[in-house]
Amino acid sequence: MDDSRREPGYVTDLEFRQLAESSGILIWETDSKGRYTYISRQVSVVLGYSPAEIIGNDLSYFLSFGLDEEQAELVSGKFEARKCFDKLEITIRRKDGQQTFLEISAMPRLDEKGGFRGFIGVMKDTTGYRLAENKLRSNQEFIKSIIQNSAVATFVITSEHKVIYWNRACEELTGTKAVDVINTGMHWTAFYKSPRPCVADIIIDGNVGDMSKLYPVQAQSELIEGGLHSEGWYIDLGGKDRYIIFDAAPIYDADGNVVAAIETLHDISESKKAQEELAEAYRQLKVYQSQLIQAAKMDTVGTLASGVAHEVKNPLAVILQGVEYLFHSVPLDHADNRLVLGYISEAVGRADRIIKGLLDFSSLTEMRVEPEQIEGVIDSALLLVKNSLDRKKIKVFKWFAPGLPAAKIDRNKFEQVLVNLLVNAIDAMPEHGEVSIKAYGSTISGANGVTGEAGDGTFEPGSRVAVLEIEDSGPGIPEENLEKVFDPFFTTKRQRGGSGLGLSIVRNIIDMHGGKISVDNRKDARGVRVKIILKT
Amino acid sequence: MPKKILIIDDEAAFTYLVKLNLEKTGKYDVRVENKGALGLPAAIEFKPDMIFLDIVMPDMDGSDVALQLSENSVTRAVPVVFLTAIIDKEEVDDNDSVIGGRKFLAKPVRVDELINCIEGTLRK
Repeated sequence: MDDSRREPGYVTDLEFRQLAESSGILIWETDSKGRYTYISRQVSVVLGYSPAEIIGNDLSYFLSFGLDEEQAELVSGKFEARKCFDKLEITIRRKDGQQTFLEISAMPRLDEKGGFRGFIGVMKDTTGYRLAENKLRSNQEFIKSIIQNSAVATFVITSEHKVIYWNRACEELTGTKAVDVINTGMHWTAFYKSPRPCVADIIIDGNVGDMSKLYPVQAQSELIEGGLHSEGWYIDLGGKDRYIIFDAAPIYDADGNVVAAIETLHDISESKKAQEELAEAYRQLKVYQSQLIQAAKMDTVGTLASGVAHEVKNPLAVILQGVEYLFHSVPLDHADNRLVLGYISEAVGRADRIIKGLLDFSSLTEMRVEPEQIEGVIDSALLLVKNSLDRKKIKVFKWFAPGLPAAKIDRNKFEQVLVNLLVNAIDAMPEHGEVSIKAYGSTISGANGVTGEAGDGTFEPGSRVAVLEIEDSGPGIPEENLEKVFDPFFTTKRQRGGSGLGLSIVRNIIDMHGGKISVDNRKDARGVRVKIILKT
Repeated sequence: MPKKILIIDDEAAFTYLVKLNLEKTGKYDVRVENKGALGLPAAIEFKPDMIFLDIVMPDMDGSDVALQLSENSVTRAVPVVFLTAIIDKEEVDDNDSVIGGRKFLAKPVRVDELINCIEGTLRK
């Protein structure tokens, strides 16, 4: 064709073939009967045949290159329809027998009147892609299989917090099926009643600071950088209470971005229980041991006290008689004589009181414990110290909770406790002081029970107790003395004849009742608060 | 006539001083015996109006002395008050000085307590 007559963009057959040969694309052309009239030399690279081997043959020849029946039908259908088709995927064998993946696109060639003249199309060798794709799929299956078949409960979430793996062990441990969480962000439902980040979520979000708020026992992984660890009891997880160790770690892409997080769950309930039981047994043992030591001490003190009492009281009796004799024999107009005799007499009285205290301290073995309303005992004790209260014009406030349970006490011994505590309070306060006495029932609710002391095994969790609080408005106890108040012979009233045995006797009596006593400075005001907890 | 008081107690210093203190009042004639085993012969000889008797003594327990006194026709009627360090003042006070039917005074004891006890006992 003369170039001057060509329409713009028009390409001659020759030009087209030159273009096709140099493009490296496999281009082909058939006539209306399906015979190859042209195929670019690229065919020798893709299929191992030369163009000459193909040109002149029809479709059936080409289609015989190892196409399966289904694909052959598909291809024949497309050609018979004489319409455009795009990216038809087929698998055929090269001349050397190797399998090749082809992607065929074609369009019908029409003459000027629209009559069908054949097809023109391209073939693309997609073998490389397909093999890579198959390899990738196979790798993914392998990874999935590793996770799925791991005996460690494991799940994986994406950077969008969507679950992509939830293995069988995880199903078993949590009781939550993979189908219920895969492709959702609902993995928290396996562990919590309301939405809450799992450790893997924290890794995805990079909010490591949240760990301490959400998980009391937590740490950074020592093995994997960026890994986090937490553990704790989970109630009714997969049908039972479990102690779970969670370890989560980030998964990075080639550029180092976190694209997912993997979390594993280890159920160590049995060893944790054993560990806790061991710790509890050890604690109990310590309690029993200290009780035994205390009992042994008491025994020794008791034996010693009764022996000492007799041996000391006799010389005291001599001294007292001697002093009384001298009172009537030496001239008392000399002030020093009177003073000295007065001192000796007073010292005898003090020594006698110390011995009395020692005997009280050691004679607590006989107890007659009965359920008693402590209001009544408090009133009797108040009556016994009425003179001292009146002398210092001290006001007493009482509050007894409605339904206050009867406490198991030895009435006399407990009265002794109250008198001792009230005398201490009165001694500590100036005139017009105030004593408040409060009694109420409570329930020990485990480790954080009514006093925070239930954990020492004094009370069974859930048991009912009667609580008595006595507060004064005195100066309080210096912090350094608080720990010593129950020590025998510790007193701040030595000058006034205090034996230092009062509070140790009080504690012994409370111990004998199986109760608890604590002495603290008041938080709300100046003064001391004594708290007694008794069994009911 | 001063009242005759016998004190049986192994603590010699104590008995000596009690004797001094009581006799100083001029109302009492006091005899002292520091051996439990010699308590009965002393009582038979002295014929006291009242006896103060210690309980813990090395040679003979006060309760045995009391038994001997109660079994002897001469001393049977003499009131005996146990004067001892083995009981406590409060125990005595709580029980109006009588424990198990016997009268007690707890050591250390003041002279006025001794006198009250003597007067109270002899009045009965």
